[in-house]
Amino acid sequence: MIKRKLDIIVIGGGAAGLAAAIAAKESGVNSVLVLERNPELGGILPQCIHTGFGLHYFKENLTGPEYISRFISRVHDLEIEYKVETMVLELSPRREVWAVNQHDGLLNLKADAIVLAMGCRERSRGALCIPGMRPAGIFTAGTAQRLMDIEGFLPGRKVLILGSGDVGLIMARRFAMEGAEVMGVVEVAPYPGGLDRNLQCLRDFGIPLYLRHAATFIHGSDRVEAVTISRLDESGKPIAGEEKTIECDTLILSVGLIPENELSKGAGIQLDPNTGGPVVDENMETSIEGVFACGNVVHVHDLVDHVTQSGEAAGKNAAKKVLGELPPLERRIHLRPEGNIRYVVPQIISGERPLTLFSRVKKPASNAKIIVGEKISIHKRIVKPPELVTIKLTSELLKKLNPEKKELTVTMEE
Amino acid sequence: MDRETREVICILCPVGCRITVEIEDGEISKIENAGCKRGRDYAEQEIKSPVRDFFTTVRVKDGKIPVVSVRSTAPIPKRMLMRCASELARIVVPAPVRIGDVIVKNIMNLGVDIVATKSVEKA
Repeated sequence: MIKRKLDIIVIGGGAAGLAAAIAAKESGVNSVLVLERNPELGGILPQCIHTGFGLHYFKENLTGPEYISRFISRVHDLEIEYKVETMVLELSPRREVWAVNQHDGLLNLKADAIVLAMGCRERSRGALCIPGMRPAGIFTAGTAQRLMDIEGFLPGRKVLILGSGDVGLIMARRFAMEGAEVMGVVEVAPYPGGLDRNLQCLRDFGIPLYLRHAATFIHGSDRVEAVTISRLDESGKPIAGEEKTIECDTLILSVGLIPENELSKGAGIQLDPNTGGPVVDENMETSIEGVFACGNVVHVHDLVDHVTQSGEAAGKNAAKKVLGELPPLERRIHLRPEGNIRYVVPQIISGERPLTLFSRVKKPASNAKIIVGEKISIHKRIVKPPELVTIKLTSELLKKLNPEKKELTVTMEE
Repeated sequence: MDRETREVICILCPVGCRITVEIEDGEISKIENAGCKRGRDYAEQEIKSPVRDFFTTVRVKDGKIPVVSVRSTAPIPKRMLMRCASELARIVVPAPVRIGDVIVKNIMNLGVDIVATKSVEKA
């Protein structure tokens, strides 16, 4: 068994983890180690071959592989140590990491700061309880994307897509471009789950979008042969007699992403039931001192640019912690989402420094006011569940806060 | 007179205006419901000559992975997407491939190149 002591360990080598490692190293911390379970760095981005990445961060329209290659190059330039094909088994509350790989065997690592950057994973068929047979030909969108764009296989020729999240819409276009027949995209909600700009993927190829529909039966013995979809009533129950059976050989699931927090739970880190990720303060520090978190493990972002920024913040603050330059927050004000606000990140602020909150709403709304505490009101022309809502708290606005309050609600007025 | 109304969903910002464009005898006669000037311009372009970013994969011989991701250096006319995809389906490039390598110069005479968006090492 190898035993080592490091300044900072970053768990996960995707967009968030690499940004954190780079920021930490640039802040003057010597030993930074990135642990990644895949054979290559980059997380999900090497398989996201479409454009639209980096518009905010680089002011350029990049593909996923191009975006992440800039960070991977920086990791090499800064000589940041990383281990791929390395699985972290356990994180202890005393910042001890147990990991394993084929080359080193078992690793027992300890660090002054840990950055959690494990990202998220896809919800699968099991989580949806779709009735029917259990044939081959059912893939999550990310698996299909990996098969097509890294491994070079076309996973199906006649495809139905369940879920209109961004990955689903992008895969609809990708299948169509590769000459597969895309039979439609099925969405339970009355509005699309992805960003509006991605609806173009369907329009360009004449792919039908079935809103307020659910998959109610999967047919086929060896391979998927058809999928029955049903129209849903207002309460979300299938309406009898409103079924439609669509012939297809493949069903793609794009039905949500879940922050991957088994390690966080194991360490006893407090999680937010609204995000599925750790509760973090404005320094991106979790409930365990010296353990920071960033990117999709905290909450599912829609733009990688924001993931990178969150990684940089966590990396910088982890470095400050190691260098003894991160004093505890002057005050800890808990933010509590209410009404149409599903969640707010960070969940704990000091109220002393300007910052941007990230929030997601439950339902679309227009001409809405986001109310923080009682006195701060921020106007939003339009808010939608698929789009993160940013709430900029300037020093001017923060002056309105009652310094005695330990908890503030974040809510919305229409 | 030939009259037609088409809807364009603007993709420039999160508001996602649903812009209606009226076309008379092949000419745009009215653009409505655009929230800003950029949206109007986008709608006009979408009707007159829509363009799209183009990206796909190209097969690689003797590479660590069997395909390399590629993109066009600039958007291409929407109607050319499938033709460019078919053109690239016929190509096999030898490993190694470097990010930024030109895979096809001036594809289908559109004045744009197809470049690799990642590096693929030799197996």
